[in-house]
Amino acid sequence: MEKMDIIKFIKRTLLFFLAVFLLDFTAGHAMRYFYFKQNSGSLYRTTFALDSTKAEVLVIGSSRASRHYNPEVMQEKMGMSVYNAGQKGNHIFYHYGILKAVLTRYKPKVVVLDLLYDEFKPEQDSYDRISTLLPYYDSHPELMELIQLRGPYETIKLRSRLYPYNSLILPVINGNLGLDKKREPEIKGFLPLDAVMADSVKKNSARVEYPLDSMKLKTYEKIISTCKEAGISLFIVFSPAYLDDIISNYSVTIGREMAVKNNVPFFDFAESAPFMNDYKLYSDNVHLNSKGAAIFSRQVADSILNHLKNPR
Amino acid sequence: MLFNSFEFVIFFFVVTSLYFLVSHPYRWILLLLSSCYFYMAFVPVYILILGFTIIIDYYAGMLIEKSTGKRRKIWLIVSLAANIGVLAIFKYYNFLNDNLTALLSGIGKSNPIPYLKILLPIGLSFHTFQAMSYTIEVYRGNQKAERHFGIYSLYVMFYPQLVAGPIERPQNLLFQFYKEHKFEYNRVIAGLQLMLWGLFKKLVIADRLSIYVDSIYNNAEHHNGPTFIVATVFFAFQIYCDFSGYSDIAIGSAKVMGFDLMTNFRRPYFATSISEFWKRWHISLSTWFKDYLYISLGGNRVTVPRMYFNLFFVFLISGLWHGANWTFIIWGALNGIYLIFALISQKYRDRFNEFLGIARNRQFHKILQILVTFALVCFSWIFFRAANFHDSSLIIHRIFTTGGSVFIGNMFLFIYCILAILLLLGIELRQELKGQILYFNSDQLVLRNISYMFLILLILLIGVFDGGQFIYFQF
Repeated sequence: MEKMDIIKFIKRTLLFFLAVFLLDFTAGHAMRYFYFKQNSGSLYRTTFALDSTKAEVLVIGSSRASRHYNPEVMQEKMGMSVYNAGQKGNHIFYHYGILKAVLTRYKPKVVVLDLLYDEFKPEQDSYDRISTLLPYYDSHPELMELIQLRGPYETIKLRSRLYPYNSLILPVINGNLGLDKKREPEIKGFLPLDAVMADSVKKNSARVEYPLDSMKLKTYEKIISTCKEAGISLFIVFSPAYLDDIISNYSVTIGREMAVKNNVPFFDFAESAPFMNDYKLYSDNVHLNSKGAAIFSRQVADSILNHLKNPR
Repeated sequence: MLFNSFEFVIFFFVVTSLYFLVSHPYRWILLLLSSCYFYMAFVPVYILILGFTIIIDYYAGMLIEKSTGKRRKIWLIVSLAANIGVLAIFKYYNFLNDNLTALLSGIGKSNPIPYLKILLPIGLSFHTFQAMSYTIEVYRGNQKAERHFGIYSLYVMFYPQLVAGPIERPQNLLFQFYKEHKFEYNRVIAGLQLMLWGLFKKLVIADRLSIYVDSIYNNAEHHNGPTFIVATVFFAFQIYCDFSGYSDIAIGSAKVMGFDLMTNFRRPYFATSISEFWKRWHISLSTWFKDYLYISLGGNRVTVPRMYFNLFFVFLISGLWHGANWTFIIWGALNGIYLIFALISQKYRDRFNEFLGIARNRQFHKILQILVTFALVCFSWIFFRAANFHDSSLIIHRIFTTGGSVFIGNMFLFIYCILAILLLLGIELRQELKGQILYFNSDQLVLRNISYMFLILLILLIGVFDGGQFIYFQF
């Protein structure tokens, strides 16, 4: 009886796994099809940055990058094409991924890395967020090095066709229906914010030191060395934030020191006018609104141009 | 090792396969070794604490059985003192010290007692309560003292329920280690079904909701009343799916090997009263408190005021069991108050319902009772989830004084949360009415498999694979 039960179990388990495999394969392919069929939305912007942009100036960073750098304003000032590849919720690993993937296609003249405050703080979320790159694991093998930072079993998990599209069904529907086009209009990757901050209260930005995430520091160094090796002019920027004592943010301090050590220009807008005291240029404490972004984009373009003309 | 980790998938497959390959007399060794490995995957050194209480309780059990009169009681006290002592040191020492510091600073004095820099051993409250149930049952004469040290150790350490229950009784579990479990197809499938359902609740519902709930509760200063109402309702489902999901995986993985663990949850949010809620929520703990504390205090066979006191006291201790924080104590006390109020007001509520004619429409009355019970439970969850007393008061104040629109944050996340809750309610309503999860028990093989595929597809599509550990591990 027991033997028969075992045989029955093995047979049915094998059939079951075959069915799961077929389900995963079919659903995974359907998700892949609709994922790459998108023509708007945040996921599409990643695809565009990885596979299509040929801009001479490439901006990489988090949501602060996507909200702060207006390519049209910068283009007008610099006379070069600009694409903003900033992606909300993402960290240094994603930025490096974009750079690596772009370099397999073409070489931008200028790369602007918008450094996030507390970028080098050890946080699991930064590793989890590498999931943004999962749909590209097979078309961009250069990203595997970063994807594997998510955990030791990532290669096994990627045997599933659906896994790269985990949690993406709603954004993919959104991207296919083009709902974001109305909700969040985009200008060459730039996502302007119209709202104005409600009050002038500055949030605390604690002046604390913390253990630094060595993998993040290493990735930051890799961005610097990759640009150097490829002959790309890299500019690292700390864009404005309406926070108290932001100038002494530990990660920004470390980022500045490393940039200086490697002769990379570091533009710190933490305490620059008019952003330091005008809350009306912000949408919230850490994001400029479109008015603030326009002023900032002009300033950053000027700084880059000045440096390109008179390198120090 | 977390049930929702890749490591556990490998561990479970290897241990279960070996379990059926190894002959019966040696299976306890396999289970004990694998349980040690499972526990040591968290913080290895804490196995020594388990070892300490296991040795004390093992000998205490035999000494209780051998002794008569006062000596019998003394050995029981030794066992209870050892278990409660471990709990007191690792879980409550710093909490008591904190309160002492606050008390002394109130009268301008400093606290000379040092703080302990210790981590709370995972699942400490669960396995100490299970160990205590053994010596109490031996003392009461309901259980023979276990002579086999390995089997007794396994009773405390059995990996499926080691870190978060269900808190078993010796009469239900010990004899099962002696029974030879054959590979039974139906039983294995039933176990795997439960594991799948538990995993679904954890990955698709609990971990998804936790993203929203954490973003609100961890930034209490910045949100309004309606947002806290939504976050608290989400938390109610989060904690239910997190804990019952764990229990289902635990019960299911034990079932695959042939062990029957006690049911821990029975769709608690369909309860029509607080008293029914506690018969459906964390049943192994509720019955533990009933059997070993409430009844020991006299239970219902005392004067009415004393019975109310007993109820209140048991819930107060239950709150303290959950965590060394005033918020848990208030949570427990609040549930005690709910129950006492329900008992006192029963007569008047019945009359009131009759007067309004609500009682005549049974269906409507039941739905109303479910909603009121759910609202009361949600209110108590505020204390359970808030980081401290200040936050919980702030949240309650905001709920009753502020309006405005609900903070949505990430629209997709919010939609996932709503869909996940609706899906859970739909599945559980069917379970409540038809007694089965989806078509898990259908005679039709195709329907059963479609049910499995449906859950697997949802886990792969919208499950949270980067989620954290189970909430109840901290207890």
